[in-house]
Amino acid sequence: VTTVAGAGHMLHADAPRAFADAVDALAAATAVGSTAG
Amino acid sequence: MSSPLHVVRAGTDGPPLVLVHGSATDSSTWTIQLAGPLPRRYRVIAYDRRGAGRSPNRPGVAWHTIEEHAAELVALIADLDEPAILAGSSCGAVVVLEACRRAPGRIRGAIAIEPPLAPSDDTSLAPLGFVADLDRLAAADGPGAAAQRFLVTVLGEAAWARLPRMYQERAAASGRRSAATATPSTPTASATRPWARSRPRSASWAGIGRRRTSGRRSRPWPGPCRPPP
Repeated sequence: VTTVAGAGHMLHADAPRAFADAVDALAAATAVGSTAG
Repeated sequence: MSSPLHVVRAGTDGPPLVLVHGSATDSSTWTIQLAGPLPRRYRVIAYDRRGAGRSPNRPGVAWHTIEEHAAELVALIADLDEPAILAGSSCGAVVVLEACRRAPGRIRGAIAIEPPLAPSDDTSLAPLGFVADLDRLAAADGPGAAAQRFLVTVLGEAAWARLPRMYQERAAASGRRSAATATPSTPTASATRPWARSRPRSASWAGIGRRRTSGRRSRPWPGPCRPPP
């Protein structure tokens, strides 16, 4: 679980790139064989 | 028998990414994500939670609990061919966390944007007097005014001012709709305090991994999961 703290309820609208980056980071960290986390 | 949930999909390849909206809005809150680059890498799925947008309440039910919303989310991802990434905003984040507790094997990971949760089960979510103020405002100026006060408090005045007018008007309308569908046996005060009846146990999520993308602390009270009636 990634908790975006203090970023504001409108994060996805105000900072779509940051939101997309968070999704990509989570996908990479949870990819099969990944040791990130 | 409930009506099907209204679901919006974008993208045909990649892992499933399910977006869960917060209170006083619907799947359109994810318009930027649905139209942006994410569908090139993910199968993006947004939906109107029960009672929002084009997903009507169950007959005779004025509002739905977090557990009910989570059950529907789990059902939505159960048919996918691989575990999904979930992202929820505000109340949607609470729904996502509850889904994580219910079906961890179906969830690859989750993003929770400001879930309105108290630091502990013994801590009040709302500041003293806030709910009473909303009740007074709803009685004096109507549920739309109370809905606006709720959102201005949760989002902050600057974010509220930036919202397109159609979103502001929809928020006010959601307050009126909640009032119109409230069951007579539901006291007004308890209807404005859904967290008192359906608040998931935060302690139960102690085992869920946590990673912040910001070093700043959460505000002590991000707001309840549902606009006032």
